[in-house]
Amino acid sequence: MKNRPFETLCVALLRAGWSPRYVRRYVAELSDHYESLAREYRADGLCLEQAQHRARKRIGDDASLFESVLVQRRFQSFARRRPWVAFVLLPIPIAFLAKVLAGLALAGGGLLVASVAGAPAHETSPGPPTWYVHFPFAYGVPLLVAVGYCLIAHRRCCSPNWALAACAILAVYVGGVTFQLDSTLLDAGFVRIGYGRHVFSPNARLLIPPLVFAAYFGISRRLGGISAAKAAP
Amino acid sequence: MAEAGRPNPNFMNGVPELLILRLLLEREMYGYQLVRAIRGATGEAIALGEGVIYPALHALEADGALASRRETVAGRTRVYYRVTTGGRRRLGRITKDYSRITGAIRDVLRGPPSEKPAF
Repeated sequence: MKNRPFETLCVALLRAGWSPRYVRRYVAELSDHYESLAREYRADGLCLEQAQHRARKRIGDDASLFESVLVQRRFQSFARRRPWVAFVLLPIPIAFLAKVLAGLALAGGGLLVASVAGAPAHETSPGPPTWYVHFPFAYGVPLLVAVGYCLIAHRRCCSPNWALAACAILAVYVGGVTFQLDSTLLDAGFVRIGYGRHVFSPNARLLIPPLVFAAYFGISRRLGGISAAKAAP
Repeated sequence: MAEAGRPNPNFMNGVPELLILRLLLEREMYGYQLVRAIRGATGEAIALGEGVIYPALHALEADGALASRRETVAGRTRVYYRVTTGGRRRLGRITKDYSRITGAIRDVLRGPPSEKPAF
């Protein structure tokens, strides 16, 4: 984009925790206003540079625009308004829900494959391979949820400590809780979902959230993203 | 009275809301039109940093007093606002409050009432 008069404001609002959706809308409206004003000044006979300068001045400087948004805390992103809820209380329910959804998707997929293959429901078959059931639960879900949390922390410019907290909680959860789908009953048209917990899991899945966080932290530091988390004009 | 063209730094509480709702009652407008309408309707006595109007519009929309629709004009997003039924009720309320307050202030500015005889 050639001309981005509100870029600084946009970055400041995002860093201060305003939701990207709100910031996009605000900046889009300001840009339209700016263009309309510049056109008005151009029609009055000013050159482009002067017209743009006057238009920008009439809209207000970044500080006053930023302050006018500051009073509207309700447009801040949820993760910034309630980081304790988003990054400490919600990871386990979200991971649980993700596993349930993954279970339903796998069961649905299994039944679909069985019906397409035309296998009669009563005929016994070895069922889907173990990896089909095991991998999404053990590795896919924790990976997706941890990546999701790191992305949220990045996009909402939250402190990396919150992402670390979410990943640590996820690691404890996915390492200590078992959630399984009984694949042997798929062909018979039944789904059985098992849920249990054990104190310690030697599985590598325990390491997935910390690894995801380490990758996020490393990349963000390299890009200078995390240091900007607390910045505001 | 504000100097024409200069933003009123201490823009009175509730006044932007009153003006926005009153002017949007007549027809739907987007931000630029609305600012022009405010300047026109108040003879430039009330001027504000024009970008400041948007958070006020967004707050009124979030409260249900305004509704909006988007339109793309020359590749830019333009949001048109209109007053809802709830916004009309709100306007009625704040107009009544504002009239009461300005009436009281006018009475004060007019000076103390002339002394009346005891009988």
